[in-house]
Amino acid sequence: MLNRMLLLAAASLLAFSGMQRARAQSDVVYINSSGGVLDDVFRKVDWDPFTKATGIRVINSAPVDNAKLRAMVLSGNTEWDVTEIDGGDFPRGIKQGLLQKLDLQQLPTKDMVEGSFNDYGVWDGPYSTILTWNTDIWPLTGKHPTSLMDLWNQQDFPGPRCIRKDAIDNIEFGALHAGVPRNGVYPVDQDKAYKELDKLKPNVAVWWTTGAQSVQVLVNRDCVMGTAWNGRPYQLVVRDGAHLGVAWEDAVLHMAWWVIPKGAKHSDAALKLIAFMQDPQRQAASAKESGYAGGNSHDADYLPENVRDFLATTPAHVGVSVSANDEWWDANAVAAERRFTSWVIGQ
Amino acid sequence: MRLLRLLLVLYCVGVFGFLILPLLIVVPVSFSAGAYLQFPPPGWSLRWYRMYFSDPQWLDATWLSLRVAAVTVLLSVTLGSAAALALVRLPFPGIGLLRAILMMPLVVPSIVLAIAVYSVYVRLHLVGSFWGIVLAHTILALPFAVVLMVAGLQRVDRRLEEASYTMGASAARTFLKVTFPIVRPSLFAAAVFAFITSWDEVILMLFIGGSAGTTLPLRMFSFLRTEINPVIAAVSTLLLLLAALVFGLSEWMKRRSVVRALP
Amino acid sequence: MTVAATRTLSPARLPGLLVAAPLLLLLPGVALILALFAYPLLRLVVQSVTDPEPNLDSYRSVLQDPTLWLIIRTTLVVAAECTALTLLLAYPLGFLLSRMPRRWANRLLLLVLLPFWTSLLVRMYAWMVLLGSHGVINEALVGSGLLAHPLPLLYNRFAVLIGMSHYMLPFMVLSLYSTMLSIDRSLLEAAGTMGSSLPQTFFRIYLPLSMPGVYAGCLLVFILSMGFYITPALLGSPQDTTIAVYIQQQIELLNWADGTAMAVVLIAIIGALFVLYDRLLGFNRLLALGPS
Repeated sequence: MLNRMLLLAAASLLAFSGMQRARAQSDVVYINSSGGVLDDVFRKVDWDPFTKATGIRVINSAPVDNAKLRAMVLSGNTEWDVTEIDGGDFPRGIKQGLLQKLDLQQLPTKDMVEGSFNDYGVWDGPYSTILTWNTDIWPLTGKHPTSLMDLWNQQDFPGPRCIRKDAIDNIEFGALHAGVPRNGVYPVDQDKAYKELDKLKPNVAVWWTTGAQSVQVLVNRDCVMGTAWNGRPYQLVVRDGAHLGVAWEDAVLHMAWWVIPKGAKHSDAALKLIAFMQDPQRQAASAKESGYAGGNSHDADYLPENVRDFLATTPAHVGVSVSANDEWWDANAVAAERRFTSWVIGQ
Repeated sequence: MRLLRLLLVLYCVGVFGFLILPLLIVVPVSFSAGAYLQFPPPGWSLRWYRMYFSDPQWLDATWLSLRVAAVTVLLSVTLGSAAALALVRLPFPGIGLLRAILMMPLVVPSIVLAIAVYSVYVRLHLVGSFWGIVLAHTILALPFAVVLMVAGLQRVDRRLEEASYTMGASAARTFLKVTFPIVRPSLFAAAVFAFITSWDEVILMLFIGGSAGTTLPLRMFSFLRTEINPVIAAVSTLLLLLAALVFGLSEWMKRRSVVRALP
Repeated sequence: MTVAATRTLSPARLPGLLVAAPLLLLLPGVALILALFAYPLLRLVVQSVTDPEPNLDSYRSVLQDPTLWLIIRTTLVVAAECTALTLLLAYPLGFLLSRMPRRWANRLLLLVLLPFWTSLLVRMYAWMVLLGSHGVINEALVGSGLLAHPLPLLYNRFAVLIGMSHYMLPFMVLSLYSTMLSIDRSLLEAAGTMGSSLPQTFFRIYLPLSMPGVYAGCLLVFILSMGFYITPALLGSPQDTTIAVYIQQQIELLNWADGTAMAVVLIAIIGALFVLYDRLLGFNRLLALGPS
């Protein structure tokens, strides 16, 4: 009797686990991106319509993880056909031979902003690290913060700050506050930057580590002002009516890229999908939901002003921002992060 | 004396309060009409439940998590009980080493384990596969199962089993009628721990989940990285409801079995 | 345990399989762990001294950096504080449960396990809502006039300990409860009738008898606390950065050499604790969560 029970258990176990092992099929493409809401938006705006148009299924995963990308390419079993890649990871990925060259002929390059594509990648969602604050305290109609440099301005805008627990952006802000012009931030003069950050540190109440946390501390009123990626306050303000304002002066503009990892099993379909996602109307539709636009030069035509106010690619914003230098970060990230960790932990 | 007892009870009520405190936030927030975590909620609605039940991605993730957790429970409790039986009853040289090996997963932080396992899985094409995920979860749950089953088996009085054999009962019958009832609480505890270990595992899943293996915690985590909306509170509330149902069901079954056991 | 088991080992009366093949019973579990856990880990360690080229530089740089020693110290201190707090909360609860009728104790134990059904992540955000300077607790305290200014409850060590011990409490309660159950009540009653005062009975008799559960629970909680990553990152200040947080950061930077070196340091510390525990108390105690 026990034997029969065991057999039954084994059989039901097998039936129970009936998960389809994904086989190498030609009508599928695996895409990896940041996840969460952004993926839901992509699914609705780009991926499902792509399947409808081409018959190629889009299977997505998250999050973006460079360690994973490296491990899969080196092992010779590349899971992802397309992945997002950010900041210094992009040049690093190229240098380490993790990425495929793209056939630019397949992309609608004439409609794309200059610099939004190169041999290895195409803009995903450019984003900026901006200043955001509570408009219940400083309404947009009155005197309110206008620049990242107001982080230091306790006189006019007193209260606790929140900034990211990371060297990225913060050392740029420090250098800017020391008087370095926006076009001269790189290579970052870290000694100068930390002198300014030393002055900021006593007023930093929260060091955020996730995008969600950066705005939650403002909503919870643990801080009155802080830094955030532009899509976060956008989603809260435009979609959900939160009382937050944003300032763009001296923001740092970052590029995120769609790339095809080396060894991708469906690289043709991957390129097709990337090309499909360059459509200006679709980019506008996804920007409307996520606050992140793409690299098509015409997408702004389809966007209302209240959305453009929150986009990193709006020319007025680009004009007052610093463009993050990915090459510098690639070369200096480890040392810069180590210095930041020592600095932030030190009393 | 009475005062001391009162103080003790009050203290324990306080500890229970501490345990329940976060749940008192999570449940109301799941019925919030607002779009982010606000307390008290600005209004009430079921929108987050609607969002959860209308989204196949949330439902798929839940279903996958349930299946992974169920198989993990079966595997880790089976392997753990077998190992515990050997550890308790059959001492032989070198057992200390084997025991240490079984305890190892407990002492290595998930992040370290995740990187290590991923580098092997990716070669074996196990990333995102059901069995790959289940095996990794089983490794994490195994030490708990072993510890709890060792404790349980040590409670079994061997003389009872021997008496059962003497009276002509088969091994299976002895196990079912003598051993099993005694270790049942330990089995139950081992199952609960295995379930929880599997159910709440994020860091490992970030690496080995792949495209096909988006479990519930993984989906929750990828949401939390970018935004916090009450749908996550709704999922948690549903889980609490599930736990309450399981609890109620077991109470009901206990009562029934008591009734049936009466002459 | 060993002696008792050997004495009662009577092969003739045991089901054949159980005697003939003890290894067969252990094999699946041990093999699984060796193949998917020990082997990958070993590879990782090898990688930490060979990637990109064979050297010990990352260990040298890790061990020479004062910040990293600070992080290691923080990790140990946070784990110790969390263990102490958890024990303080769990001991009376375990005591009460062990003195209750079993039926009720079992139900209350399920209640202790209730928080496990809420994802750790969600709980972190619930703590943020509760402990913030305008959070539920502070608003209640300030609103009722008990305090003039909100207390700093969040983004510090206090919040980290609250979040961690909340997670650990059920582990400790279970470990204590099973030991306390096995303490013979008549012993305490006997002490009482012999005129020993309540505190005397407790400290002389009950506490020493419950120590195996205390040791096992503390070791478990301490070790699990050392690996915490999400809680210190979300609820703490930079001063609460732990080894796990640091490793995660290095891995994200693709700085595998330093990341794995730090991981090896962490494993070494935990391993040393195990050895110490074994020397002082005997490893059997950890496994013997129940009566031994």
